[in-house]
Amino acid sequence: MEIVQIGNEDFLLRRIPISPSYIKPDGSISSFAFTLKKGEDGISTDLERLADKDKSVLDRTKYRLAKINAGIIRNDINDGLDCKHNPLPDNYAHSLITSQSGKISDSKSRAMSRSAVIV
Amino acid sequence: MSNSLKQISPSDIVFKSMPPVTNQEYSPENQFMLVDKYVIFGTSTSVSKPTDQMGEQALFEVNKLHSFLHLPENWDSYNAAKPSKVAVENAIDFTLRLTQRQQFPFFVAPSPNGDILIELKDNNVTLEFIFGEDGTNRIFGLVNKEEIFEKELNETNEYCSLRWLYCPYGDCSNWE
Repeated sequence: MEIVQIGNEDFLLRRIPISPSYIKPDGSISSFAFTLKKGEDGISTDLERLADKDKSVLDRTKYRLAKINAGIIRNDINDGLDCKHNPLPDNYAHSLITSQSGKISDSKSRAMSRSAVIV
Repeated sequence: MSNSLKQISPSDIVFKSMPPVTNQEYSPENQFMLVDKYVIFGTSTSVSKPTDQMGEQALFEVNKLHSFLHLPENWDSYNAAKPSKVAVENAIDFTLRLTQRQQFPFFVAPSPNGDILIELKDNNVTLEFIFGEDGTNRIFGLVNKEEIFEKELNETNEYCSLRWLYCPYGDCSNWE
């Protein structure tokens, strides 16, 4: 599969659970939505321009979609974070938010959640 | 609370030894008693034996935390772990201590790794209590969404951080 370059103008989509909800009472998104799990290489997302939102959300009764700008991740949040296209056999839009150190700190997860908006 | 009360620099935060609210509140034995009283005696999905002191909101918060134990693996569609039993029990225990002070969580959620978050908020100040899946617990303090401290959660740090959030001048009637 062809790997595309993710530009700073691109947006990434991430599913946000509804129950239990990662959307707080004030409408902000919990940092858990952008927390790297143990053993993960990166945070799974879909590249918006390649994605079908109806497929990305999987089930609208269980999830919503949040989007975050790749340029903000790379340049504002920074800390060695990058966005890489990582197509899967069943999801060509699949992309990862990666970290050079292999870790994403709590403060960077918070910064990403603050920069993300519900679609 | 006015915004002026919340303009606190990290150097203003003093964590010093303080007595517990009661002699029994923090013993491991008592923690299990609390969990037994409110969770184990409940049905599989709800808590059914509240005491007089436990209001509806407290019961709601405990029920919500308890319900996390029924989440399956991959509940977030990104392979999240099931919330840890020890994390849920510690979070319920903390919530019960909190409600004794007539305070309630602003937000609770399980992490993808099985931890439990209880977030408290007052204007621009936030406390995040993370109850770890391995039994280790932490507190984060944030002002204007910027992290200004991280501490291991223990009896002293719990008391001091709550007092910092709810009663920064120490002149509140419901604080010892």
